[in-house]
Amino acid sequence: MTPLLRVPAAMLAALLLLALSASVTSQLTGGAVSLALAVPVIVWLSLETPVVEGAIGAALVGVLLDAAAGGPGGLLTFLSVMILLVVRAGAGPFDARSRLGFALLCGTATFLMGFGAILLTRYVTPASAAPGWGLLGRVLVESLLTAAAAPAIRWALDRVLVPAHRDQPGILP
Amino acid sequence: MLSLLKRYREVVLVVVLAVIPLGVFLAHARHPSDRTALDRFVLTVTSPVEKAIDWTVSGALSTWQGYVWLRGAQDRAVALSRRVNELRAENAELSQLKAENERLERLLAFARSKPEHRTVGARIIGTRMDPKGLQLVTIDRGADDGVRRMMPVVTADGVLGRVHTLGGRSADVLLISDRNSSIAVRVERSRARANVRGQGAPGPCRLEYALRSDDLIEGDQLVTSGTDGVFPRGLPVGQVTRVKRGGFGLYQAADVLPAVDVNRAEEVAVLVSTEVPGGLPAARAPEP
Repeated sequence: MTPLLRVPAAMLAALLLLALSASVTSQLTGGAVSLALAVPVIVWLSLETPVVEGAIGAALVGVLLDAAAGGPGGLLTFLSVMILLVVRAGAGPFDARSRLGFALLCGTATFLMGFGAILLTRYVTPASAAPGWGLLGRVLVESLLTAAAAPAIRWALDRVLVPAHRDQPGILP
Repeated sequence: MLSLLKRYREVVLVVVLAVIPLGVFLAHARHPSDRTALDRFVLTVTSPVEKAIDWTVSGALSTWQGYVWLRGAQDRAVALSRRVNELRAENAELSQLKAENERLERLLAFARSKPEHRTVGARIIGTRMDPKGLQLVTIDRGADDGVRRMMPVVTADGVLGRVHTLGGRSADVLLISDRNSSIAVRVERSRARANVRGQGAPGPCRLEYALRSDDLIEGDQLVTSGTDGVFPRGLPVGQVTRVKRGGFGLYQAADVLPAVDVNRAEEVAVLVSTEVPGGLPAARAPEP
């Protein structure tokens, strides 16, 4: 698959996973817990595509996340690009392409994204309206569930998006 | 400088991809009064794009929910359908209760408007309306409730008939449409006297004994005259629909549309005590 097609395909996959996570969580848990099934797409882009292609893809997935979340625009887009960079930087020391490694990365990325969203929102919001740190528990559960679902998502993405050949991990190409 | 930029163009691009959304977020987050010109510019440029993306994403998510993820939809549809049927039945019952309440309110208002009469409320529990014979209804009040023979039975619209036969807890009412029913009436407009007699079928009655010289026209309202010893004066009986005045004879005749539709009456009031002018008894029962 060419980069020109892979990025839109990743967006479509993210949109599908967004819809799926909303349906699954509302039907199975009544919205008590949430899933971030689009985050594995960002992690997959970090691991399997060149940095520019991955960054563009991550930013576009972030735009979708922003639109679906309904919060102030730009927050999740920024965090998606940051997650991409963090994953690329941190994936080197271990086998991130294994199922367990991918699941760990997805769980960590989801947690970092939730943590970053709370941190930035607290930074710009008046103290009376700021989200509390108690939300971190919910973010932790979301990270664990996303990590559990990550290997299946990776399996599907490998078949649909077809990874580009990239020899070296890291931020710089 | 240019060569440096060229060398690190990919890094620059990634940084730009991170910094622009952060700028948009911060511009959004600032209080409108604290926004700088740059913030306003950023929001002006990005708002239409954000709206378009929001529209697309929410459309896609609703399409997913409405057409793809239909798990449990059939169960929900069945449950909702059952609920709709329950609500329809409940609605029909409430409509009936509302209509009954309105009828009873009118009957009560009628009874209150005539404080000189003491009334007993009753419900029609049976009918015997032979198209060419007896025109009777049975009510759920009888001798035990103070009902006596020949007592007038009315609805809020007017005269329905009079008590014919009695049981302990029920009574038969001879309707205004029965051939044996004859009610003394007055034309409300001209005060002319006459009698209204039933024709043995639900529907128009006949005006009898109206003097040929009396002033009678179609549309005249007829009320009880109080001269027959059964009905007190002033109760609506019906409306003249067609006047038949022959070339000779003492009287003129007319069709009368009864004020009460005997087929639709459900709740009635029995006038158990009336003050008839002239000291006549309220209800004089003939010997059986």
